[in-house]
Amino acid sequence: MKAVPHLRVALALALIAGGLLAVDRFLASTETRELANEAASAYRRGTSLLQQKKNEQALEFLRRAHTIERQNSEYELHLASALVAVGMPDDAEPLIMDALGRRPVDGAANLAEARLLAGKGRYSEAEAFFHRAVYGVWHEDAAKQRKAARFELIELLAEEKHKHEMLAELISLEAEPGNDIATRKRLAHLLLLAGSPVSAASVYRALTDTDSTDGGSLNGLGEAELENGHYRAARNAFLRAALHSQDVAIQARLQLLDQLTTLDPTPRQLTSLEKYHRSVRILDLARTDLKQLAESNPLKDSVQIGELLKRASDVVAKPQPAHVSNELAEAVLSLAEQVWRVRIQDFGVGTGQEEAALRLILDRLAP
Amino acid sequence: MPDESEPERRQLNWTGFANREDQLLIALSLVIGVLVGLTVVAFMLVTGRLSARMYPPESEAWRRVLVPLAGALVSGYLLWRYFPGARGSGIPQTKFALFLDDGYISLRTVFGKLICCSISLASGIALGREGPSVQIGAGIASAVGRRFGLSAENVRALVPAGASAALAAAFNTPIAAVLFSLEEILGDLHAPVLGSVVLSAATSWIVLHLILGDQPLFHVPAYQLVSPAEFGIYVVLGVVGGLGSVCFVKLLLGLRVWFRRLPRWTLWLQPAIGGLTVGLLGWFQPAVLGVGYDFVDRVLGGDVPLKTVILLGVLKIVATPVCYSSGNAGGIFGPSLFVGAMMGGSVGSIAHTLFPGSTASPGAYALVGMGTAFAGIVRTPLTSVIMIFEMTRDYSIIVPLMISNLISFFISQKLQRQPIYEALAHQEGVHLPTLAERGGNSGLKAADLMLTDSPMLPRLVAIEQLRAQIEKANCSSWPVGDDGRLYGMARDRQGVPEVRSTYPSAYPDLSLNQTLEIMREHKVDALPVVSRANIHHLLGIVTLRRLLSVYQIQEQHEAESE
Repeated sequence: MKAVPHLRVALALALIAGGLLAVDRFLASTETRELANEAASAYRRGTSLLQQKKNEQALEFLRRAHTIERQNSEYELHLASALVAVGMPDDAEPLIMDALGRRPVDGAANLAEARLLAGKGRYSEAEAFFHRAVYGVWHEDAAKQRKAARFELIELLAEEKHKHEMLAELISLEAEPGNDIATRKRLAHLLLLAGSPVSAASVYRALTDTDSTDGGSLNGLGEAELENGHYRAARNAFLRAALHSQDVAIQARLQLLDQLTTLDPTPRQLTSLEKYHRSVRILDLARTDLKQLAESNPLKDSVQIGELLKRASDVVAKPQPAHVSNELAEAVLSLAEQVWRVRIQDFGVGTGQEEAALRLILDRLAP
Repeated sequence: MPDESEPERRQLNWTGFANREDQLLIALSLVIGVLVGLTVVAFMLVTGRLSARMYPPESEAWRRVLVPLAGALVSGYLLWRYFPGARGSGIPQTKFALFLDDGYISLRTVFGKLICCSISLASGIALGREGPSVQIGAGIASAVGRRFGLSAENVRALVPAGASAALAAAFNTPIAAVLFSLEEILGDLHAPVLGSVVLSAATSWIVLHLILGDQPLFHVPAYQLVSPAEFGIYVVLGVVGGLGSVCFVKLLLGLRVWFRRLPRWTLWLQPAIGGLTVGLLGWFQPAVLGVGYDFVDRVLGGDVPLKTVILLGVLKIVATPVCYSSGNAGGIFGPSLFVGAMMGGSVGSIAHTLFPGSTASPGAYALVGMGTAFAGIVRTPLTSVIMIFEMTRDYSIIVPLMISNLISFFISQKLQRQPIYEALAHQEGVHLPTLAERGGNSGLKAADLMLTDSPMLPRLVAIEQLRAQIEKANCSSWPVGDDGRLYGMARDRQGVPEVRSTYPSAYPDLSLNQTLEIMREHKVDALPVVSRANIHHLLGIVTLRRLLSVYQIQEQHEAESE
């Protein structure tokens, strides 16, 4: 081997290393850029297909995006959503857990886990993750995302009939500033479901004050007032709603309210006589209802029912006393309530349209 | 390789290491780690970007047939015309260089390997990049050592350092890279070059992380052993892995024999057969193309249907041997891991379907399966365990891995006696020294006392000529052959020359003890000394008489010195 100046060799190696480093850096940045573009393109295709409900096809593109950029939580969570949509929740969970492992406070990841758990019927765990989503970190449009997460939680609570928790969430939501009309409408509807017709009516009223032609809000207001037992106010609301909508349901509601207004024994301006007449009518309707049910189900405790029906028949058949007092009317109503309780106890709640008015009146009198 | 002269070595003074080559070796290990790390990263990135251009997302199916074919034709021509040393995987070639050529690997081979492998792997040839990386790394180490005027011995010492640096960067597993260099390249876990091997692997790994970040080669699932009953399934996986490995190796070696029988003028065309085969398979199942690590990732994630996993495992067992045997440039490490992942994924899926409550996800089995196939095909059980352990960084995987890998290793050893790289070397006519042979390499060697001036006799030798020769050499047999090619050993059998075509032989690097042992075992008093690179190339003849006379001289010399 011929003589080699080693310093020059070392310098040459340093130059080669420098050159290689530059080449590597260039190639690495090219790769990063190209892969990011490829992943973004696959992600766009995947989400678009997901929106078109082509879940199986979407899955392939989302998988591709996720494989290229493992650290991208957005890709990961969309893939998890697609997996849930195609009925593979077990495959989705590790992805969500991976995203949560990287960022435990991530709102989207917590929401995805909450949805997954809710889908599996693990509601109490789901509720916890919904709360983390509501109070978690969102990258963009945080207020909107948090609100949407809270609505999802409320709907889950509604399904579970957890009215108190639901109401607590709704109150928090109601207190938030900047709720748009759609949000307020949804809020009012959920307040009604949560058993807070007063608050619901208040929100609906505010909405109808803003837009008096909003049939949906007028309808909602009618429902809320109906629930509150304010039949006249409800009737007015439905009448106004009917001006802007040909919905047959509104007409049915008006018919019901006509019945209720003629049956309701509670208005303050009613005379004792009128209250007595209405009480007897209520008792008669309750008695007829129970009698029909007892005849079609002879196995039930016929002795107790028979006695009760006899007492009710006696009161209904009894001629109107010369002097009618409020106490007399109340006594009749008490008997009607007893009949109704036996009816509920032995035969459950009916769903028939014809007994709706009776049910509403008696539920209000004997909740 | 020519030896360096003493004045040249003195030029090392500029570093302050006057004749302290050991210290320079350590410094050069770091330099080699950096250079090899940078080169291997560039190789991986170039291959990846080139492949992305060959196969854009949602590209047409015809590409999957034509691109591998074209890639194989181009790289095949380049290999045949310009870079014959860059053919194949790179592991056997590195070992040839280490044990037969004083660690000499030309820069031309390094460039050829880079260019040809980039073309063939990017075009979808079903081979891996790790084997070629090893040869590239070893070549860089060899070139650096030579440029610094190191002795042949020290150049040889740097070759495993280059190999481990390359593997550390290619697999992102520095410990496994060190072990592989010792276990497979050197074949000696107690090799004295451990220090430089570790240093270069660590340096290269740091370079990899500086450039590409902390991205693992595979995104492995969190490993878990659900129940002790799973050990039984890992035994089954070991058996499946062992049998699959044997199929892979036997098919590859068998096909290699077939390709070697084809006329020499077809050499540049042969890789195209591999290209066409993998192209046709890729037409139906695109994941069979290339290294396939993306798909391994998906199998590890457990999101591939069982049918696809089985099909891909079978297709890869066909595609890789055809590609390799036909002479394409590329290695079998990556495909081994791919096949292993498919075998493991299949076993895991079936087990999980049958016993969902007491088995882990199929991804966990795919992970262990990777090590199982590696242990069965490459036959480096320790490296295979450590490699998968490094990938998962999870201690709990060790026992299942050891169970499966060792079962696979033993099955493979039982059904295919020769390890793949040894068998490939033998097909090339190369016989590398065993560890025992290398262990006795101090003192005099067969090369030191072989007769080089006594010619080989013709194959059809006359009895008189044979008698004269064996009397002259004072032995009972003599090598015969034609045109410089050793054919056999001839002896006088009652006045008739008897030629035996199967005969014991010695290599020039064997110690006198080992040479004597061969003579004792075969009851002969003369041995042809042949080249390890070509066992039909006669280098000289060593006789029992000459060997014993050397011992007498040694004894006398020792007596005098005492």
